[in-house]
Amino acid sequence: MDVLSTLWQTFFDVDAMRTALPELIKVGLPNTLILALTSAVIGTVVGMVLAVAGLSGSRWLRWPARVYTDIFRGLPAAVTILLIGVGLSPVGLQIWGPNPYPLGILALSLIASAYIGEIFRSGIQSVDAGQLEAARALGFSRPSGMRLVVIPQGIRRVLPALVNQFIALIKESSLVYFLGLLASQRDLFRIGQDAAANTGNESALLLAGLFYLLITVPLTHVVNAIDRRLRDGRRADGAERVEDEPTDPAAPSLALAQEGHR
Amino acid sequence: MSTTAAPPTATTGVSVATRDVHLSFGTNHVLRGVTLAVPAASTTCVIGPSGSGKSTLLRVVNRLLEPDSGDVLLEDRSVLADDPDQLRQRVGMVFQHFNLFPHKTVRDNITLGLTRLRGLSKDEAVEQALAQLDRVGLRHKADVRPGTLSGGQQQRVAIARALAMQPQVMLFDEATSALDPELVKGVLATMADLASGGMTMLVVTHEMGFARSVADQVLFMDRGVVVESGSPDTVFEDARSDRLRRFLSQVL
Ligand SMILES: Nc1ncnc2c1ncn2[C@@H]1O[C@H](COP(=O)(O)OP(=O)(O)OP(=O)(O)O)[C@@H](O)[C@H]1O
Ligand SMILES: [Mg+2]
Repeated sequence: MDVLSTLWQTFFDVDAMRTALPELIKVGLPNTLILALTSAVIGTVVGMVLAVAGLSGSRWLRWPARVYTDIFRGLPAAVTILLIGVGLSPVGLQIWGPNPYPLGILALSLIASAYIGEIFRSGIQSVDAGQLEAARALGFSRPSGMRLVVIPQGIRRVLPALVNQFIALIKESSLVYFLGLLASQRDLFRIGQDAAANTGNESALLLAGLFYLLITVPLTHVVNAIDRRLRDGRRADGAERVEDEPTDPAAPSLALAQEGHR
Repeated sequence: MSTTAAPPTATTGVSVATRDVHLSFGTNHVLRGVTLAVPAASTTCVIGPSGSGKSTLLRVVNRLLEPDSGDVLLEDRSVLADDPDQLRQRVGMVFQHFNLFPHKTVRDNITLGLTRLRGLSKDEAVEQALAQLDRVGLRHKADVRPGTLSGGQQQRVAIARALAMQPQVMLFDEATSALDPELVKGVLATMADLASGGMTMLVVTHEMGFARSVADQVLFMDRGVVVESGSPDTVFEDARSDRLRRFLSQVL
């Protein structure tokens, strides 16, 4: 019985949770959302640039995109965050003063863009070559055909993988605690962790964990919903594409995108 | 483009020709000197075995592929120095697998080129799209996605999409080969209508019945050259080469 009540005290100390709650809501939640959303937006934009460069006919675009992707997908997130956050802090000091927050966002964006770039690239590649050919046959240039016809279809196909990446990013944003944030900059994890250190039990951290679940679990349902809709959509396509099916690379490439995932 | 103002059903086909066109993919010499002439407002059918270069030839005519040597002419003028994107607005193409844009409605498949390339307003483009859909009998499908249509309907939408750009030449690459047999007739009828309406058509087909009844000229291609050409009667009844006789005995 003693063990049970100790465990209960460790994880479900209601007083400790109540003490930490205001800060989790007022400081931790906004900071986690800002970190994740900003780097998701930057990562998506840069990822699209990487994807297009990676598919370019010019090796001078393809090659840098490849190297960038290999580096930031290959390094542990913690290493990237420390290298950028600490390594670039003298530069940051010149620009925005002693504030590690922007560098944290930068590091997260670099990581996210490498993964998102690969997701977009596989999506775009999975679009049947006949689509670009048809657009060009109408009189569109190659770039216009990519922009108006191929890329929109490619993005649609990888939406589930993209949302998965956003979920990973929300969790990964907790790693910026390495950079020694100011009290007002602390994210959910850091506030939970600090409170846990103060009270000597993990209840506040557990509460912080619940906040993460509150964001990520609905997102996983979004993924499933999109997945279902795409699959229904594809079934509608089925009638049209009986002949295309053996050559339609959508399925394997999607699998590849998922595989590229942490 | 001078034809922009023309009503949707008016077609003003122009002559199209190639001269001694060569094209290789790496070491694969696919077109080995193709010369052909399609007079304005006439239909030429291209027949020949698989791999003989028929699709490649069509793609050279609208410059989806650039020939290694030789010339492509519209109205007796070389188009190889022109902007290829401009040229493709004058030369419509219909593919074996339709290649409709699955993420857009039938109507938006047609309006995309009109608004983006022809500079039509949204309303003008929709009006034009509906007129073209009327022509192929599919106005009632304007709001659906192509994926919900039968193959035959999709191919007719693809024809409408190409015609909406008011081309002066139409290329068909085995437009009915991917269709279930019962759907072939409707698409061939649409193509025959177009031919009798004054369009210049270059049609790669395995439908010998269509070639016989609609074509003004039939070309038999084999291994990258035009082996025989002439009226349907001469080609089908009076084959001179062994290669054509062998081909005909297999397909007829
Ligand atoms: N993009 C390409 N890259 C490399 N080789 C190609 C390409 N397109 C066609 N070929 C080759 O060119 C040759 C002719 O192909 P093409 O598609 O023009 O033949 P086809 O007469 O249309 O045959 P089918 O009746 O099977 O459609 C084939 O050997 C093919 O492998
Ligand atoms: Mg072919």
